Amino acid sequence: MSQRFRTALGALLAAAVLAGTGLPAAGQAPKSGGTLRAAMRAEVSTYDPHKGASGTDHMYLYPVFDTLVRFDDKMNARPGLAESWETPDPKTLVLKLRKGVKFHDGTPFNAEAVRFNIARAQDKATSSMSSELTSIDKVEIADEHTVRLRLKAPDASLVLAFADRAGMMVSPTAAQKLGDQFGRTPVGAGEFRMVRWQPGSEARLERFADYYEPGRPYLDAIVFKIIPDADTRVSALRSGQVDFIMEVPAQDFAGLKGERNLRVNEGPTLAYWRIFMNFAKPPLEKKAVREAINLALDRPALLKAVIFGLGEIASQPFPASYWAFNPGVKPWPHDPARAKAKLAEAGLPNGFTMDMVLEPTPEHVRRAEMIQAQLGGVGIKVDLKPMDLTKGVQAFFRSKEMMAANYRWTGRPDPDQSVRGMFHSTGFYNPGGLKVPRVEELMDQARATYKVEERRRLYQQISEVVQQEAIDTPLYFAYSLEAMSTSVQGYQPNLLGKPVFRGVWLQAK
Amino acid sequence: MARFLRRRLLAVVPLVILATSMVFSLILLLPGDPAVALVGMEDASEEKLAAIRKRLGLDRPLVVQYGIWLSRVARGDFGDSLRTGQPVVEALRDRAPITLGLAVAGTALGLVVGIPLAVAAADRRGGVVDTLASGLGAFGVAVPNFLLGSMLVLILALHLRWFPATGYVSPFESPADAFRHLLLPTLTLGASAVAEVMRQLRSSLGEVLRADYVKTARAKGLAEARVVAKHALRPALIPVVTVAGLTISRLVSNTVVVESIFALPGLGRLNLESVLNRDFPMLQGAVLVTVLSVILVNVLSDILYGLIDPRIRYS
Repeated sequence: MSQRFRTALGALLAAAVLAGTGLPAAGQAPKSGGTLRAAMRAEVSTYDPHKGASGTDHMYLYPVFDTLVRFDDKMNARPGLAESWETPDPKTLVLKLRKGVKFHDGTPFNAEAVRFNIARAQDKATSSMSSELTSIDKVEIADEHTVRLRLKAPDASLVLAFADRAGMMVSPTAAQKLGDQFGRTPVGAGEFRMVRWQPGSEARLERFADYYEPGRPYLDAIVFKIIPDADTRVSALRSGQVDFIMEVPAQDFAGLKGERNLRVNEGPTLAYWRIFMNFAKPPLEKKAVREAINLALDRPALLKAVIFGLGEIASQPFPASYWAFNPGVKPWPHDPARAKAKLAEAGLPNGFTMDMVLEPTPEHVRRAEMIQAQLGGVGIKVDLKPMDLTKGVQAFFRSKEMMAANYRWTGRPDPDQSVRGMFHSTGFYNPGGLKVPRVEELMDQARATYKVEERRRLYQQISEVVQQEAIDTPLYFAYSLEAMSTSVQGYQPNLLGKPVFRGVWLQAK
Repeated sequence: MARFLRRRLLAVVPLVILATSMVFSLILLLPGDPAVALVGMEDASEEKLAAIRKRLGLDRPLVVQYGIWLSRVARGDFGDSLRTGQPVVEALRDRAPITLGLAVAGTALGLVVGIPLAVAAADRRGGVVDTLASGLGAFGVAVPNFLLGSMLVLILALHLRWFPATGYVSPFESPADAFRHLLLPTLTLGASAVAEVMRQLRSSLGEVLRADYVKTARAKGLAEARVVAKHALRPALIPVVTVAGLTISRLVSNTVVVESIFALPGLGRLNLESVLNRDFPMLQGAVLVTVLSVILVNVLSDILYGLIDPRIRYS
């Protein structure tokens, strides 16, 4: 083989690989223009970032609302509307704001706007994330572009919380003027502004001409189409009515992967499937029983049968690629014999009956039935309670009638947001209010330090204790599965599993 | 006729009250109220839930809530969605035409295809056309919407690429595009209408064709086409009108599957979403439109009876 031919072949292969991975080939500059049509499963609960209730709202909100802080692919904090931040002392967080930023209605983004937004997000009566901002005591305006947050106690989780809903800046002028209607006609400082929203059907966002980054965004518009049925989303992509689809059904993924005009993305996310339990319901207060449940589950089988292996076995509340992951914590082994022994140890040699809430959709039912069979194998009879989400949330988290629920923890940017919700005795997602003092101590320590290394070590310890006490029943992290037309370029998946369409552009076909 | 219409329209009022109050009480039976649906899986305190209930007026007794809703509706105010704040009227204006249009198109397809097919079949009982039509009729009635819809998408949209697989375009925006988008859903929804119209007319026409006056007409030497078209078809159409009326009503309330397969944002999906979100002003609006359209169709078919067969008197 001649050298020249080999070089040519190499270049060709490289080009093919690049084309396959969707990275823009060298020298290919992003092009401006075009409308991205994206199909989503469920409608946003509201376009008001401080009031929404669903963990999947973010993908609709990020284009409209810029955040104080952004995150990178490992979920590390990166500058956003706040160019930098520092903690002169553990109870003060100073944010330096970007200059020359405007909201879609022309209102300037400045320290006053940040103060307004934080107060709005802290309002217990209306905000859905007030619990994430409880540590903020006062917001002081140092100058037009600097805010000083005075904290009641040190809180390292704040920075990444500002990459979530709490950091999405709404226009103070519009929020005051529109009141309750703000959620229908949102005004932010993001790359796109809302033009038209027909709830349940379609939303059209158009390029914000005065966006502070020159040349951005590349797209002229984004249209979100709501297509609840998964097969229909796939058909819409295949026949070219949309360019991008979220939540590809796992069973269709392999097929789409091979298609010529399509590209797929599979990536780990912070969202994991688990069995939520009410530890106040006997016999779940017994550690041996919780261990028995964990030992009876065959996670690799679940992963394979329910989502065709498109995920990662969960050993702890964080996936392997996350910065707080503890490689020392191994997944629970599948050991039915030991599970039976644990049940006997708890005084329940013949097992017990546990009711478990689930959503009545095919994938949920498939997973719950396998759990039922696996736990049934060691004598734990699972009584499945299919309920729509509202009914299930009411029954399990609020009126606390049920022992267990098979839901997904949708993940949060900061580990504190996750572990505090699920494992603190006051956490909403710990309906039995079980208190494990060691976990709470570690949580408070982790919140009080701003050193990433130190925080990592503490969260790793939390994961260890959580497994020792068997207060989590993690199953698996399902990959986020997206498919798109090959004309969609620059899409960057993230660990949050909620796409941010920043940097996306369209290549003419 | 005027009296008949007045009476029929007056009967609408108690029907609407009955239907909407039933929906209202059904919502009460569902666990998890609208406030819980609004906060979802979010960590919301009981105080916050109470504040939401107060803001939405959910803290009042149900009878009072219903009374307020009814008096507002009487003044033309359907309220706003509890979830998105969208005025109910706006949502209905966007969505009702899609579902009603589909139901009418599906029924029209049933008539346009079903009537000629039935005439051909009834004219030659046991002939090739009759056998084929009977087979088609059985298929149309038996095949479920989700199967037919998915097959049509698979073959005509994804494989042959003749039609778009999903989506809705308003006929006022682009008639040609609207036709391309709505053809597959209409076929899916209309298959059963074709079958029912065909079967009904085939049997009623068969009966009429054996009646004495038809024999007389034939004996007078009239051409067969004239006998069928002029003498037999008209009385035989009465049961078809009944079937068509029932079909429209059924299709209006049955489009949810078709809307789901073809991603059409119609009333069916609105109903489903509103139940899941406990969004009762929206649900009530959607139910009201459904009830009214069913009643309207019934009145229209009653009028049609009289036009087709003057022997039917309204007294």
